Amino acid sequence: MTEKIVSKEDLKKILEGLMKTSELLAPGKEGDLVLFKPVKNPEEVFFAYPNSLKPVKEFFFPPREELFKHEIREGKVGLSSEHQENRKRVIWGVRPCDAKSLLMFDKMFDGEYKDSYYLEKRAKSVLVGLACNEPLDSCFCLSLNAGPHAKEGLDVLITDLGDDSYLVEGITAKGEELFQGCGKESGEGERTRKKELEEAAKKKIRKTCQPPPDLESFFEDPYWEKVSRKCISCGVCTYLCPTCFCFDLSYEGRDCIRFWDSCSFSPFTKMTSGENPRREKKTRYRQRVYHKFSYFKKNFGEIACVGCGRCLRECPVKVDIVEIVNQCSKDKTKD
Amino acid sequence: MIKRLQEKVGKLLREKKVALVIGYEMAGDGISTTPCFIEREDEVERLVWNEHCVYNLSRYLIETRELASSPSPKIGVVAKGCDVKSIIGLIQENQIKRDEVVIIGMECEGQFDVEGERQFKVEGLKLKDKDKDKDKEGKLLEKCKACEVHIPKVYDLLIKDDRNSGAPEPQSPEVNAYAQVEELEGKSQEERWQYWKKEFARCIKCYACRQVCPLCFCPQCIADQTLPQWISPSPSLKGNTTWNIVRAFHLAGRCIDCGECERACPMKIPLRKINKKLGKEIKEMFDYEAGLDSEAKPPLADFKLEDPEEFIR
Repeated sequence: MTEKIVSKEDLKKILEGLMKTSELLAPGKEGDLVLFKPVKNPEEVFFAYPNSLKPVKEFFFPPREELFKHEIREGKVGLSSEHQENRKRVIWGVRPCDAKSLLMFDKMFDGEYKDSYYLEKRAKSVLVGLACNEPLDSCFCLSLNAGPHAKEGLDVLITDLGDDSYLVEGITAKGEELFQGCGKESGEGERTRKKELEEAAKKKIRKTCQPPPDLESFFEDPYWEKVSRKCISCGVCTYLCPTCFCFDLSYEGRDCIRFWDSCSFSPFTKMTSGENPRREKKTRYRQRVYHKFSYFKKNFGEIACVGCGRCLRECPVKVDIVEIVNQCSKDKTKD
Repeated sequence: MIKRLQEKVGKLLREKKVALVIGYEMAGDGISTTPCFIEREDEVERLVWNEHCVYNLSRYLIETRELASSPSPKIGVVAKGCDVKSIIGLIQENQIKRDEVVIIGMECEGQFDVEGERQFKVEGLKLKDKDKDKDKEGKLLEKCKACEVHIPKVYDLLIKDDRNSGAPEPQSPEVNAYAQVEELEGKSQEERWQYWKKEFARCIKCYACRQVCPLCFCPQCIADQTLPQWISPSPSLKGNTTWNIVRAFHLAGRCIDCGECERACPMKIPLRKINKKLGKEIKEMFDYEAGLDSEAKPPLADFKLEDPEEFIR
């Protein structure tokens, strides 16, 4: 693992180079929103943002993706799939929480079943992380085995040291490659500065998520009805969640489309017969909590939440999943 | 104001006049509020009232009514002047009965835009302790700037603003409520199409607009139908445009401009503009404004024998 110091000018030059050789995605402003988008001008790349509105999952698991087409040729039915672009893709400015979420996606899409659509995108992508120096009040990554300067899932991590200098830490070979031949060696002072920034960032994270080790016995508790009451059953928390991966399939003409679906929606579990096991709001909200904090943990060994805080910030009625999960463990210990 | 609100709600619960009260309480961030459901007198201290009470709580009336049990089947709801309009809409459309709700009307001088909080999210800036009156105009929600119902038109109890006791009712500033619509109307068809194309392209089909809307109460939304599938469920320009236009059409003459859809939209699509445009059309064509009279028939749910159009007879 190499460490080096680069200037803001160096970073711009690297971005300019990457624009020519690869598909480059980075956060930029769109009105009041911060979104990842293709970089057309390095000047537009936005560095001073807590996090993007949408997580980077959309580049691996698009909100709408054509899987294959039906074709009828000479009276015969066949299937065809559009050629995927295999050009290298660099995603620049990924926050550590979002990088970690992709490792959870890997467990799902690169586990027992191999999802080629996902894996192709994963293989061609390089993730350039940007350490979080100013976490928000709604961030809670520290309590979920992550952190504002965590490297897990990234190919390279950049830390803004202030004064237009950046510490670049190579994590994988493909990450290091991007910064080859630029910058200078890092000194003791810079490494200390980085440590200080990391500690300061950690101190700013005061929200903690403490789910009970076992939620199972709590399943039928009236608690879920109480806490889900104000939920409006929209898809904001699930669609903006970096670890939510539920999808549906549908045909649009002869195209088979995969698109995001949300357990908050009433038709999510509606069956052909008309039967719907999760007709009530509390069962849908409980499902979201259990999938993240119980089922995923059972299946893959960890909680499916990285503490990015998007669901807290963007919920139209301020449902706070951290409060709900923490409180439920308190309620349990009381009994 | 908060104290009186809590006292009145406490009294309603104590005297079993209501089964529960839908109100506002402080959210975990210490700045925003969040909807709450108060069922016991000892819970009334959770209730708050401030300039962050943006939610239109009438959205919860239909589902909450189903939960209420006799012998106190009434539901209390804390409502601003604008929220009362949608309660009127729900009564007009037979979704609730007037005597099933106790409207706790709040005198409201306007709610603040989430802009402050949004800036906080975008720039990572800390929200400064707000100087109450400093640049208040700038922080007001767009809809509040043209508000004509600081005091609700219909209520069972009214909680007046202490700061205004004895003083005349706050006047609405001279703001053209349709200014944003007129600005768009001034553009060419092609420009308008380009404008909406860009806005709708962002839609992620989370349906927060529909879910937060007090008047989107269809047991099955057209967007959820699969046989036939009228609207493509995946986010694409075609499906997004169909969805947003169909929704606006269905709210024509019904939307009371609470602006909740626009506020809830995470992608910040200016949905108020499209609903407001249809509201303007209805006003011009039928001289009707939604949410003012619970006895009135909404123009698109009514017909007249003397209607000049052939098709309707």
